[in-house]
Amino acid sequence: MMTHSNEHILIIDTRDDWLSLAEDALSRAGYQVTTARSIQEAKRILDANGDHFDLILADQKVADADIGVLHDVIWAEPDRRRRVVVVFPSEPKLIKMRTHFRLGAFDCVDKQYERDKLVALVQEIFGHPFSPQPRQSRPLAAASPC
Amino acid sequence: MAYNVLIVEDTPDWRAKLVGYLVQDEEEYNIFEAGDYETALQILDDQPLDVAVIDIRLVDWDETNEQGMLLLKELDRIADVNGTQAIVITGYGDKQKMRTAFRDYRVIDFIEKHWFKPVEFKETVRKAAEEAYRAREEVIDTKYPR
Repeated sequence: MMTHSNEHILIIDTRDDWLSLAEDALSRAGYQVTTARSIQEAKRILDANGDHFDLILADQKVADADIGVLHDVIWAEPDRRRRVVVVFPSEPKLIKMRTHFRLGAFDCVDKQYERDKLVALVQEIFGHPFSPQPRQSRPLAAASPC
Repeated sequence: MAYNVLIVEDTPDWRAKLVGYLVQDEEEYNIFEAGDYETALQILDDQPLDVAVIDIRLVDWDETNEQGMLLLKELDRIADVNGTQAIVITGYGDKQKMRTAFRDYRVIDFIEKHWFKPVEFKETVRKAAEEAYRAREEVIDTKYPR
């Protein structure tokens, strides 16, 4: 389903197959999608683009592996952390969900492997009354090299 | 300044324990206690509260009881005026209740009873009280600019 939206989504995940699926499904649904394969790469993109993104989908394992950097680039920015949704690849432990919520994540969700379900999930996030409002469309600046 | 804190907990032992930790704390609190939903509602109506600590199951023998979630909803309705912050404490938490509490009712914390740590609890209540004060000041500044 095409939504013709201007929402920009940053997806942080190490799994190429899931990144491809998510990028393709969400782009077809009308979202503008940028991917990062690590928190470090996400940091470079975020540093170069400030608050360009309306939603950051961060894989829980990637996030937990580099939680210090994630804290510096995302949780430390009050406006940015409300845009983060942590994606759990397997049944989440409550204590892990609590950690991310306490740090300020907007939501913690199960990873969806079906295109329709993933798009529905993102639509639901943007439709929530407390979700951050989409910003004006802006061009994406190139991240500086490592 | 003493903060107003409501403890909603049907189990007398737990209620006494929570009250006890706050009485011992260096911060000064006026503590209100409720052992059931109706009493809690009455206190919510009568008292401007800074913090509400809410158990989810308020009839211990009834597995279907989730009156604490109804109190969160009620609190959310009045929180914008008083800045009241909520903390959930439960022996029966699950993923959906945690998501609803954090995402929809913007609670400060969601504590499973088997994770309970007195020092952490006292810190969380202090943080919530300060946040309530800050939120209330913000409302006053908006309504009556200095």
